[in-house]
Amino acid sequence: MLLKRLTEAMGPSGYEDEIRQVIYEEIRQYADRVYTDSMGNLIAEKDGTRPGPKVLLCAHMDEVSVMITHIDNNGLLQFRHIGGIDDRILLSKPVMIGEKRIPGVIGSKPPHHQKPDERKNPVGLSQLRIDIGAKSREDALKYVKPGDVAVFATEYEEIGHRRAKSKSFDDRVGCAVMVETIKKQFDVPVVFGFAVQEEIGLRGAGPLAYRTNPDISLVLEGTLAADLPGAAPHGYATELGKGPALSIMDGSSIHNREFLAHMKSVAEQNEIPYQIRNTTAGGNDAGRIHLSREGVLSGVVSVPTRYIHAPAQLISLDDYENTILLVEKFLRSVEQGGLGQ
Amino acid sequence: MKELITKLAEACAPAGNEDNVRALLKEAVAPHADEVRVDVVGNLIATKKGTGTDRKQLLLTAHMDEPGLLVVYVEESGLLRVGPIAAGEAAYLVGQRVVFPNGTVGVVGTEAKSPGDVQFSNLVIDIGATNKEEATSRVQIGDSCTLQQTVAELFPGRLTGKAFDNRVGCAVAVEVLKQLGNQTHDVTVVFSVQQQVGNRGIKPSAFAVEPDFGLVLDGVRSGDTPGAGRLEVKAGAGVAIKVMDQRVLIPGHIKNYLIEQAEAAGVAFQLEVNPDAQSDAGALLQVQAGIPTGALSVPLRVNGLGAEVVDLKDVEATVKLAVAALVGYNL
Repeated sequence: MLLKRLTEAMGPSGYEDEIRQVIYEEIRQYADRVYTDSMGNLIAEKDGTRPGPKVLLCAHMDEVSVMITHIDNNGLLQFRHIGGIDDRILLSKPVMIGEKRIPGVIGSKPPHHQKPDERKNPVGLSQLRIDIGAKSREDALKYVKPGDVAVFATEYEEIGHRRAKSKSFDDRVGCAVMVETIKKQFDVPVVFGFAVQEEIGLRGAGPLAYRTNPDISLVLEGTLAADLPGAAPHGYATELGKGPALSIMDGSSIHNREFLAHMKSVAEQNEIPYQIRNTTAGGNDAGRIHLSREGVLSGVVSVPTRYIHAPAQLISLDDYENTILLVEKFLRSVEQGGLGQ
Repeated sequence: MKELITKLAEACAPAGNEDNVRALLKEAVAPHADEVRVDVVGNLIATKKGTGTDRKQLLLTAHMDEPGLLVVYVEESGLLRVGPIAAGEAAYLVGQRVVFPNGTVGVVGTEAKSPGDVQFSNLVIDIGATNKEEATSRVQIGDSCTLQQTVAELFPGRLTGKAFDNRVGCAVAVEVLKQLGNQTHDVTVVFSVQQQVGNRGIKPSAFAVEPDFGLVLDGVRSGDTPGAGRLEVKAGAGVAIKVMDQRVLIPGHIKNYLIEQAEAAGVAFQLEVNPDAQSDAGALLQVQAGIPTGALSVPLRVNGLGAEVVDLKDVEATVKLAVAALVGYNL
């Protein structure tokens, strides 16, 4: 199953080797050219039958994760974040370290050893350690070393009614939408850009867009869904099951109004449910892509994802399938001269 | 200039939707430019050819955008929920009147019980709609608004209004274009978008123009009001030649060139050493192989939201120096 293969692969920012190989195997037979650039971005090009406009679809391969920074004398591992992680979600979580997937558990001293003021605050990184069961520093060094990276040890699983959980829907769900899309034929040239290092500052997408030089770009993301108790409806950002989310603004882009209107009409004409991502927070690779070279007409479609940047992220499979459909219909509309011409 | 500044400053152009100001500027520059175009991100680009045989490309730029609020949600009651577009402190917005590019007017309220609790997430805008359906007939999620404020003349030659940063710079650029004609080099004026949210618009436009020299026009908050912070820039004391801001150290030979030109033309000037603000100059210096860039700022007294004050003498000084620097360009 594609979502399982993509979400269970490792891909900390800067260490996307495994997920890149997994995606390469999925797409190689469908592309006219597949190559990797100096940053590690995986780029697949399909020529189409017309010279343009050239469309870049982009999703990032990397996931939020941690890096081992130091090994204590007792064999416990100190670590730091790669990408934005709320410290409060780390305690007691199982992780796996490095290519060999060394299992570990994130631990800290129990509450009865905490001072009263410590109990009021979340346990911070300085107090957390990864425990791989090693007896000493020397013992631990046989399995791990500083600089090794670790991801949450969460298996893909379909749960409840048409929902799925995994460690990395942000943004493997976007990667999966692209894998499904590359199997289809389009008249216009389409570049499938699988970007590195989004989670640590949108670093891969700029060079990717510069090299591929598209006319139009659509970024595919897994984005925040806060449709949960305690949040007000105007702060939900997105809601699970209500369809692909169209962006209006975030910390990296104020999204093109013509593009937004076009995506709405594509969805409406094809009776695909959609929602507006009603927050101005966050940021993604479109922030880099739309300013590349002389500017690229850009938009973002996201699959709503609960518990984003945490060990068990949840999506609706209906939203996922509707996103695949919306992306296809969007590309058909470009074929028919519907945007930016 | 007074009329143009008034028209531009009263228009609504939040970052990301600069259509109204772009339309006014397009009309203003059309008679004075050889070529006018709009690029993919919305920058307005006007070129005036030079008379020389070996012509350099000179770029003059001013940003069109201002801070605003973006509608993220429409309540069943017809009230609008918003997020900030470079909008500073939420508390200052309570009680203000706002306007959308389509002319819809609203007032800003809050559900917070005390001023200290005001955040963007508890602001509401009332456009007078009685329900959601009525509201969305005029305003959609994703639409943005700005303050609504008219321009007034205080003491003669001193205007007050909103968005003088940077409609004053836009007006200067129009006037410069008008006065050019016999210059040696090609001059391209970029009226840029989205400066307020991170100097975004200038990057693609400068990539396209590939200028040999860039000159940025912007407003600078003057240091001559109580609590304004340490800044040796006064309203009425002339054009400010930028030395540095948060994102740029102007190359010394360019700063010196601008000072020489000011002295030669008899233009009143002051130096802007400004660690608390930013301009498109910082972005311009990093486009392609790096564009040699200088910057001129018009001093603005900022007395509060929508209450900027500009001295027209400073505006005229800025025009004069910009023309001299472009006509005499020899770097």
